[in-house]
Amino acid sequence: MEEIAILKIKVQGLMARLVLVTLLLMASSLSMAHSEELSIAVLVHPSVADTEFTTGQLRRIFSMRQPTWPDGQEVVVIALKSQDKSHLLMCKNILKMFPYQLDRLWNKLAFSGLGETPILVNSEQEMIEKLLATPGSIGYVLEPVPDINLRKVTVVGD
Amino acid sequence: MKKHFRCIGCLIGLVPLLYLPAVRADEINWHGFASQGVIQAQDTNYVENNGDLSFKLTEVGLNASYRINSSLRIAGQAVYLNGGNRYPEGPRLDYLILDWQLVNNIDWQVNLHLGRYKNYHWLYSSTRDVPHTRPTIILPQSVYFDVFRDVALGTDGISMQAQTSNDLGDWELNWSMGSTPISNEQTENLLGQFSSGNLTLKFDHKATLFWQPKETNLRVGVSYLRAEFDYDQGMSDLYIDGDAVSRRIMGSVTYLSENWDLAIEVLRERVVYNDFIFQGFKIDATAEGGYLQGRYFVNRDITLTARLDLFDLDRTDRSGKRRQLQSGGVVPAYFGFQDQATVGASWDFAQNWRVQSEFHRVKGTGRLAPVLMPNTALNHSKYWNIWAIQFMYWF
Repeated sequence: MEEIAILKIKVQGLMARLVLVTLLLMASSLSMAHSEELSIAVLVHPSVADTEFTTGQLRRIFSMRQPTWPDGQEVVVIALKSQDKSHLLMCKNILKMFPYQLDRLWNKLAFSGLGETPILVNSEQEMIEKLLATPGSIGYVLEPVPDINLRKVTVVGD
Repeated sequence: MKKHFRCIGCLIGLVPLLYLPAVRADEINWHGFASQGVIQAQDTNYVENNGDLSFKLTEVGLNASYRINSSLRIAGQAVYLNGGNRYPEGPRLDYLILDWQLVNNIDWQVNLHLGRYKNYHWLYSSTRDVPHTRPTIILPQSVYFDVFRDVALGTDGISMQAQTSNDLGDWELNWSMGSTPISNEQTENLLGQFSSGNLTLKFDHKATLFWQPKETNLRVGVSYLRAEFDYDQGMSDLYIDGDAVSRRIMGSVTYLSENWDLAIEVLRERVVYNDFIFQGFKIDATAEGGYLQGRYFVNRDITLTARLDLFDLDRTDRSGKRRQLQSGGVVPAYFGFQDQATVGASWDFAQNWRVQSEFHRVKGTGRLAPVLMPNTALNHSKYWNIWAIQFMYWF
């Protein structure tokens, strides 16, 4: 009987330690997630007059539903590939969308004749180079933004 | 009416040629896809007449888009398809449109398409032949009836898309009117091998409204279709002159979440056939059907899909028994419905590469060709299975 009681205590102790370790791991992962909280900056070429957009307007632009700026200049959307972390953050934090939603929309445009797809780039460096070289362009990079001749977009309430 | 639509289509088709000398290659956006699979639909003529294993699961396409100016754009796509008996094999001009942006402001975008445009009205209709845009290799047959693929997909005429946002959310209105050429093979698929006449689609009219409530991932849609067909008797034809009218009302709901999504489409379709078999012959039946589909995204590359699709050819004879009686027992009752349970998985094993596989358990043969006089010799099983695996690449 005593042996069973000792065994029970041992098992309880083991369980308690397991729970503690799990909680510690969860806490550390949460703190890591917090420390990894990165923010995204949406950038436009200096030729684009507006720098204040609502979430809805940015959704329309990145969904390729707005081909021209109000002054008639062509909107050129530049995007990172959907696996990219910056792209994920831009979709979720700026557009309030899931990356697969944008992928589906762009596929529908490309393969049904409805519209055109964004220019895809492989890195943030390439994104900045393309933005600088393309009048009417809009794209995004992780903060902090290097001191370059691009205008930063402010997201305002709908 | 039909001839006018065809003329518009031909004229629009010539427009790109006028611009070709002035177009630089880097101003054209190119996209394409290629896929090959293996499929078996046992005990039916769905893919092969004898229900054997088949490699007739090939879809290849190439498209281009060129912006002439801020309001005009030309886009076209050619595809080669081989789906066995599912639809006629061969190359096709999938779409070729002049896209004219009529309105573009902060509140409204309105586009007009002239030429051969896609069906933008149902959830998967506009990219039905593009493998990586489909949830499964075989789409739910209640809505995406393969026998009707060519008629339902590309139309020569005029189409309009209007989009707006207001306090209630995002709105999208699609409207189209035109005609579709129906090939001899397609006629045979619809009416059977003993038809030698000419089936024509006089006109096809579709309208759809989608609404996405503000700040939600829910989208609902309603759509209407009306199509009128004419049949001219051929030489030593089993059929005589006839006409048919189809009216389809559909509703759809989609909900997107981070790791899963849901799609529902339901339809009610009234089809009236006059004459065709003998003078005074008439079928007036209202079909009902729809599907519920769920997808779970295990991770960025792996997706699992499950779907239940139900279809009844005549809502007043869901079991098909009345038709069996009326045909003197020739057409078994299971030709009156087709219910299909599907499970599938896809894996993106490299950038722009995917392998997709699925299994379907099917009860009934109500969505198998030919439509008017069912092939009871080849489709002799009430219960049958389909399995398929397909590799695909796109750019």
